Amino acid sequence: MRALKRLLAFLISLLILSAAVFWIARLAPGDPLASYYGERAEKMSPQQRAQAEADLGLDRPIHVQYIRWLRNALHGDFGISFKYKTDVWQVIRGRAGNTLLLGGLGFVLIFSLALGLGILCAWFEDRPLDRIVCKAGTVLSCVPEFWLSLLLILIFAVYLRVLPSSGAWSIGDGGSAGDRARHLILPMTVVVAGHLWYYAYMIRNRLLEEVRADYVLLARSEGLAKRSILFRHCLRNAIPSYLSIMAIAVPHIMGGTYIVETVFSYPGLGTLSYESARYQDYNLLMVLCLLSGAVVILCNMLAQAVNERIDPRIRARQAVEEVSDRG
Amino acid sequence: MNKFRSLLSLILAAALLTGLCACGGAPAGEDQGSTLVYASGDYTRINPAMDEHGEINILLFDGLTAHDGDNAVVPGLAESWEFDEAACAYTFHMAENARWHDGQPVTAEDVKFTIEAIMDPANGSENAPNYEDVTAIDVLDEHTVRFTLDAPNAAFLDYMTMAVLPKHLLEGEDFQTSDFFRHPIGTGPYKLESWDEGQAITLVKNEDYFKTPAKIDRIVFKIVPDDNARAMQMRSGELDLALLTPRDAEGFAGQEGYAVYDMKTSDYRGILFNFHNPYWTENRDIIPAVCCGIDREAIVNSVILGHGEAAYGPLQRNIYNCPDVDHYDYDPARAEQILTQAGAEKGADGFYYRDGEKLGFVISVGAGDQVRVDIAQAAAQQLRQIGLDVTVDIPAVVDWGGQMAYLIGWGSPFDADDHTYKVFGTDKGANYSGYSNADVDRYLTEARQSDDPAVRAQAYAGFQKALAEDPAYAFICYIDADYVAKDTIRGIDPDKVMGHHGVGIFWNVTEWEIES
Amino acid sequence: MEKLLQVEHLSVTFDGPAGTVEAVRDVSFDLAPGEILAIVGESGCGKSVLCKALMKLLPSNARTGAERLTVDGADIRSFGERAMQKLRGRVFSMVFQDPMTSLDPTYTVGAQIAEAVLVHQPKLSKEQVRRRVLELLALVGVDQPEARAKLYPYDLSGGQRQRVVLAVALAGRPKLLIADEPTTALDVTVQAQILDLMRDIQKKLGTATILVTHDLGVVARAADRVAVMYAGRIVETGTAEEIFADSRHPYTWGLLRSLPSLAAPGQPLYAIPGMPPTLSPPPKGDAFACRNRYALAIDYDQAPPMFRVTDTHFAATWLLDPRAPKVDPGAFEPDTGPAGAAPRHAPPAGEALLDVRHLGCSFRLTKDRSLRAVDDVSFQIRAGEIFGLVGESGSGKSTLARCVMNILRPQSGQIVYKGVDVCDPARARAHRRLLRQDRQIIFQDSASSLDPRMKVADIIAEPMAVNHITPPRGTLREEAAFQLRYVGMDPVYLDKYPPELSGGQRQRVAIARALAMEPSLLVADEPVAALDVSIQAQIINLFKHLQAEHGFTFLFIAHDLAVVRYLCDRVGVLYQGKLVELAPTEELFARPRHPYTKALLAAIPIPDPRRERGRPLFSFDGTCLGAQSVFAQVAPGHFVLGSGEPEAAT
Repeated sequence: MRALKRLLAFLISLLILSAAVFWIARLAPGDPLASYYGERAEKMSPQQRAQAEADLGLDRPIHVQYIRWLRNALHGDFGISFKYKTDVWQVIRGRAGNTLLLGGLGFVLIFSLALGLGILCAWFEDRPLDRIVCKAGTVLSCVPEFWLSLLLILIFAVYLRVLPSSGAWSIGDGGSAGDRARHLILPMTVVVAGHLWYYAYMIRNRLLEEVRADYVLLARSEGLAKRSILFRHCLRNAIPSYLSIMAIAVPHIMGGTYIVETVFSYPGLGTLSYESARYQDYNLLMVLCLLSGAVVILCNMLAQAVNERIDPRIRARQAVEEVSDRG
Repeated sequence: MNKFRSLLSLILAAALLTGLCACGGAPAGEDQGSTLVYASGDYTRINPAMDEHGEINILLFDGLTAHDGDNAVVPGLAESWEFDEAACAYTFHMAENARWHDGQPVTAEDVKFTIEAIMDPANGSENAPNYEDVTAIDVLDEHTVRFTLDAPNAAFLDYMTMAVLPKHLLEGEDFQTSDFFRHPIGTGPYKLESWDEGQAITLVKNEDYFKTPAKIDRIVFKIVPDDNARAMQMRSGELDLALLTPRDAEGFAGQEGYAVYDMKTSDYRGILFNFHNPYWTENRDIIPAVCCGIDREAIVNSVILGHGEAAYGPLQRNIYNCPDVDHYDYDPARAEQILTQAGAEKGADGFYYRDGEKLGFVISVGAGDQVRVDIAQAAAQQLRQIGLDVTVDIPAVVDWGGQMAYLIGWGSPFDADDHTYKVFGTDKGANYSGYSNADVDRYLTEARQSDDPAVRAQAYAGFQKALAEDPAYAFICYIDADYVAKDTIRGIDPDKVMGHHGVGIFWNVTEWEIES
Repeated sequence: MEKLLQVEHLSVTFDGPAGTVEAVRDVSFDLAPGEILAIVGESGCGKSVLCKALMKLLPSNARTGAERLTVDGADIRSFGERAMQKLRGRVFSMVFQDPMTSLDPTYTVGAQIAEAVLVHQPKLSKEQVRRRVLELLALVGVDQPEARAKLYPYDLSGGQRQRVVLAVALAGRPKLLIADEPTTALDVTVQAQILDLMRDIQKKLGTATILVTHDLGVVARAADRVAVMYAGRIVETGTAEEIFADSRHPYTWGLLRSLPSLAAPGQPLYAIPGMPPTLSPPPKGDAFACRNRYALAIDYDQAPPMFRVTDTHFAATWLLDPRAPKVDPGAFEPDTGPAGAAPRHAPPAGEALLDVRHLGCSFRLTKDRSLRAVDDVSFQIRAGEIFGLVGESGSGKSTLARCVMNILRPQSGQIVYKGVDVCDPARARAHRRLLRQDRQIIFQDSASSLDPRMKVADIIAEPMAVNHITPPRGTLREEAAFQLRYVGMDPVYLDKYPPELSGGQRQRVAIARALAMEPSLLVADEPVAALDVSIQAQIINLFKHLQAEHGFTFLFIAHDLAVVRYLCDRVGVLYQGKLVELAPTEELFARPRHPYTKALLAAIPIPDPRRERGRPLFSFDGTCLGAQSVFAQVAPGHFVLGSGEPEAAT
């Protein structure tokens, strides 16, 4: 029953999202014909324009267009991309893998490195290492991504010439794993650098909260070594909140690749979204928005589910606690 | 325990990445022959029939004729031709060994098929105006084709450089949306190896080219639309050849390992007056004042850093150019005189008023080309100083019906007829402004229909004079094309006049080679 | 015999942002093997810091210095963390106050004990560890050790958890056990059990214990020797008998006098005036001097050294100097029992201010479990009386208080206040203004019941501001000042924030806030439970004063029977949501009828070591609470929940 309600909420959210994107895209300034006809759109006479618009179905009032789109979408036909003139899903499928690679690998790296860094800082709390890392991390997280990207490109691609400055693979290489990895290094560095400290700091503070708990005092009085306490006890208690953060972070990190992709000309969904929004490629824009909207909603639901699994246990526990605390 | 697990996963991840890098190994292309990487804009399709200009077309396709270094007509797919004056017909004899990239022979049927498709208004080709006087196309035999025109057209041979498309692959297909244009098969010195959507188009040498095959094995059109990215990738070595902005190109001048080619083009910029707009029916007489009120040298120096030339007519790079016309040199006094004579008075705010209306107009500029926007802004500012209320607007959609003026940019390096007849002729296909001048029409037609250079020169002189007396545009400047290439590339011709957007550098690509 | 622990001139200072605090000053004592030493003192006296200093568990901003610190023959002054880790758990270990937070909620109880075992015996096999765990659980008195070992901490009750914590502490077979307020968070009945367990362990394993507490009753039951701490110093030390019967230091006198069970009924409780000093820097001379009515001039100048009374009894007071005047504060005769109390004046026979009828309130815990917190409770509170409600945790007294205040909605029953049924939403809404102003509540934890971001003046004035009442004293601020003075605090505190105040001061502010509205009914939910004895006395005196002077009616909820006995006119006893007995105070204490009441009364610690030690405990196992139980009157005003048959008076 609850699952059904969730599904319904999900679908309705997507519907509202689609309507909002539809309207806003069409009301925004810009020439969709430029997307389809390229430079020729500039030179078309008014009659030719009218004809072209009719061909593409852009001459009807917006709500009529929307209903038509909706009807087609329910049958699985999301239209063609104006620029690429192929089915939108085909266009997306070609690029999605790249973004998944960048975002997915970035996600894994961010969270494992953040965990390690957070543990390191918590271990050396208030010692010089912790202080330096905290300051450096804060600075790093404030650096704008595009600036960092350009800096890295300048250093590694232009001056040192050891890494490529753009793209996902070398032309003609066909995309061997090593070549892809080389192309991923710089964008991945920027993606990780942008988010790393946020989560590392979070887990550091969470761990330090745990370190102040009473059971740590008891463990110390037993003679347990600091290492055991930190890893066996504090980490175990801090991890649940970390996991729920991870769920929310998925759309945050995946969506955050847009800037990096643009600067590095990395052919992913980020550049595709930017292009379709900038050049009024309506159908493609719509599907991309729906896709990211769906990911956000799903991840939030996941986070909610994770929290509920942890929370009712806690809540029930607390209720029982209050009742039987002193007996 | 937890610590070990996370540590282990970290080590594994690191090992994986380094392993990938290691097995990736040496950069590609070393043992695959020579490769030239060229910075290109993005293509959504390669369709020479429908689209007016595309750098890649000349690599993949051939026309019946071709251009040489001086933009004169030389044989292409057609080895020879004759002109029958009486019948006003051209007969072309095609080479017999030409093959399509898929191995099929090239025949006259293909030629007929291509030109008919271009002429078909249902297809909406940009090139249709060039062939508007073709009355009949006859296939005499497999390698002979005859075109009958309703009036002589000296430029016709120029127009026959149009790429020939294969009938056997395109028959029955829609010329706008066919998938052929994403997997084109042509006759040219290079054939399409792969098209990495949005990333690069890789062309590989056509060993069976009917003329001398090319020397460079592979040419990659790497899609780098952004100017800054192009400059950076030239510097980092990822590009071998690129068209850069003047400022970026200057950064490479004198640098070790690079050669800069500052090439003239026939590409000019100017203010087009939209005569469909009722403003100009009453205020046409201020146009000469506008022409005098633009300081072209200043614009050339500030916007394109001196990489260009002040413009006064559409044929300055052409052999038929007539410099003896009113250049409308920058002369604010003259402009004011024209305006006063037209009955306008300078108001207290510094602007001219006539019959209570402030004189001025809006220049529309297409978004996306910063140079055009800058030129328009500079011109508008100069005109405001004279007293005309000129402003710049950057609409999202070009409104040919309503806009008052537009910053135009085009030009052709080929026959003088190419970008004049259809542009300045009354009701011609590329005459977007609605300009109409009987003298101009007469001269253009005369020049078109004669192939006697003397006659043509005189006709074009007459045309240019008439145009200067009744301006259709306020010409501003010609723009140079700055190509930067690695100095290992030999064969680039620095003297050829480029076309619109600097197109045309690959005209002799079969002679290029890369020094190792 | 070789002393197990020898401490000489130990001092601990903290470097904080506000300056250095001398938490422990020049403490010296020793401990023989197998001995139980109780360290008594109020909050802030430094006893916890002392314990942590012994085990070197203090944070990094603490500096410890001692002339001698020997444990089991080893001088640990220079021991680093590594060396201390080897000692901890094996030579000495510690037990803390709150058993819930002392255990890691993510591991089972058995796993945590096993971990402690493995620290010092890492080579044991799994089977050996398992056996040892069960052995320890049996040692600490946990029944069904096999099953319980698999449970998580939150599945156990508080007493069981504390036993588990003891098991963890004893896993390494330490020679010394330091227990920092081990029973403070537990119910009275359980408290006694844990204390007996500790004595038991002492006998079986020969473990010496340092028992830190503020409860003198606990001391009387369990300790061999006592040390009294004040302001970071030990002011008196001796055997338990000596301290209770023949104490010499004025502070110890004050402590003993403040106990409600030792108070003369009808007289105000003795409260040590003033507040413990802040120790940054500590005052010159004797720190207790400013609160000491027997202080001599030299007390302000020079701190007194330890004077010998007997070989085992020492006190640091100038009164023991041969040149000092003789002082006899009067003998303390602890209350000899229920029969010796003087009859209390009869409660006013006013009409019922609050009438609770068959109240029932339940909570849903999980999908299939719900808890009946209050089960068919009925009683009346008359105007002008102090009605006490006692019960241990889980009895439902807090729930009841919240229902009375309309914070919780009961599922069944009625609560009629001044003729208005507050459980009926319509009527409650109609009279909400009256209900809101006329009833006020004071909570136990003053730190969380006061908004830490509001000034004291704003806190006290808030109810008036919210209800748009013009303050009778002019402005809101003047009203707040008045109320503050009324509860015995200086108006200089008006501009302070709650975190700057002590526990007692905060509770007074909460009372001032409640009083500002001049309510008819004051519900006090364990208002003094978190306070030190001397502060507690002050607050209780305040309540008594309010009842006498202004006729306030109180619903006083507590678990400390001594306080209830001193303060309340009538008492109701709650057990697991049911009201099992209701009677005037003296009647209840003299002639308890219900078995649970008897057990509860029996568990009150008597601050007399001779009588307390070895006094048997009554245990109560929850029988006699069948569904057919009926609340019947057995004597005038005395009701008992029973099976309906009249019982003979015992």
